[in-house]
Amino acid sequence: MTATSAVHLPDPISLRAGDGASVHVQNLTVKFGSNTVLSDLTLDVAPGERVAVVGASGGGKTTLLRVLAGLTPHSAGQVQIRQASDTARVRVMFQEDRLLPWLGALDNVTLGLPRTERAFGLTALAGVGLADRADAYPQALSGGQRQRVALARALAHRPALLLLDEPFGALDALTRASMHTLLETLLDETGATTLLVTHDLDEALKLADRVILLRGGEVTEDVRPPLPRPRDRAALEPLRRHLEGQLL
Amino acid sequence: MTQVQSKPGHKTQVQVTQDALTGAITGRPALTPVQVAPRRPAPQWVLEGVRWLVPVLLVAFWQLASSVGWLNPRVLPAPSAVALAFWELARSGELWHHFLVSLQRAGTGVLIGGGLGFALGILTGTFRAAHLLLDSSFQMIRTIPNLALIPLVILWFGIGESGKVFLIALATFFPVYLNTLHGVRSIDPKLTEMARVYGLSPLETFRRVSLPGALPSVLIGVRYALGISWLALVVSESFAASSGIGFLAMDAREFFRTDVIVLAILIYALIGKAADALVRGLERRLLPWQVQA
Repeated sequence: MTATSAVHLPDPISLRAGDGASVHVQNLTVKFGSNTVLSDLTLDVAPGERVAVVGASGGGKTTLLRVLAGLTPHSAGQVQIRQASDTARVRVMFQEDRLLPWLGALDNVTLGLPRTERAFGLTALAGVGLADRADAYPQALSGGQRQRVALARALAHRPALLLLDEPFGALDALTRASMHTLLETLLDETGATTLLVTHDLDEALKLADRVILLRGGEVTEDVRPPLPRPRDRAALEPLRRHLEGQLL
Repeated sequence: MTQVQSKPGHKTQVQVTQDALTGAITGRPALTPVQVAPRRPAPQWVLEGVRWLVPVLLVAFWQLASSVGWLNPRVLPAPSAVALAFWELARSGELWHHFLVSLQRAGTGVLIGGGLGFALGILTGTFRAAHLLLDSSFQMIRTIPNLALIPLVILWFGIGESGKVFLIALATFFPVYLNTLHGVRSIDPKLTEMARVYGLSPLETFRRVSLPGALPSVLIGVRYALGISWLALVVSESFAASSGIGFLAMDAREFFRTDVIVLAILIYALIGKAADALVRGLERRLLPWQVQA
């Protein structure tokens, strides 16, 4: 039961939350039992940078993301997430929407937000084009709409570091393409440092400043697509082929 | 188009073609276009009427059988006799009194048993240690039949109200306990992980994720508990009682008043139905996010 039965668009509130966080990962090792998932990984991400992490399944992509989110403990090494002001807010958008079925879209978006920041919920929901579905339960929304609500939830928190774990993996190609455009626009607005885990090379090359290839728990490639965004797919083809060769 | 007799008395339209090249003649059953019309559901009053058809016919037949004399009133009284008994007892206020006493017993028992079941189900569902410590004991007690406890209950509580309430509370504890425990345990861990990432404290996670997530299951437990509470009520009112619907029936047996006995049974059935409707109403109110089946 939401408080907003009639939807008012709020005064323009920016979802921008200062500069993004910087990420410093040094000699990170993660082991599950005797299985080493990440070994001696070092990675620095500058504030506001958008990094895509690609690699085959079992390469440690998701583990890296979960360590940054504080969900998986690491065995050795150092992880620092810093923001100029204070502790950096880290938020995750998962592959599944993970919306609470008993809350309407807006209540899902504002979940966990301090009272003073609730207004960002509607801004974010309007940002993903779902302000008119603020009261709708997740069950009444399509898969693409649910994922947009999940994105709005992540953005409403105005994270300094946004972690995206194969967020569009379960969507059809057409919906995914429109999500890419939407995400690009919204990321430009928020300025959050972004780490996108994906197995879709096109997605990585289209959205990221930097593409990192993880293989056997190590960084084997670290490239920057040499084109300004929005990027043309054809121009990226040589780089795409190169990375694909590395993947297989 | 040719008509062929495939089986005796069974004619099929056959499309016969001849291949221009080989001259082979082939025949296959002609395809008749099928009209696909959307199925229109029957109107509500028809469905409702069909639902009541069998009970109404049964009662009508029962009345007929009694009036004609096929049924001995000592075995089964006529529906009209039951209605008359209802009228008499209702007018004297006796029925109302017994009904309220029963309702109070059942209500108190359900509140105590269900409340404890809910609280302990949440406790054992949330904390591993509590589950380890308590659950196997509860499961053992659960297997004891209520009736086996009656001699002990009389010794412990005497023949007053508390023994009856105890039996009902004990019977309703388990459905609520088990379903609450199951509800809390079957919360998707991905949702609790999400709550953690989005900065919810453990208490907030419980209030906004675990509790609403367990609620559908808890309500199933409540529905079972309400059903079983009447069963326990019948048991507890069939011994050492001086009031209540169960006493009414036991008392009537002494005087061969089959009409009153049948009336008491009917009242139990109606109360059970009402309790079910109550929980359905609760579900609609508390779980608006669930698609109604």
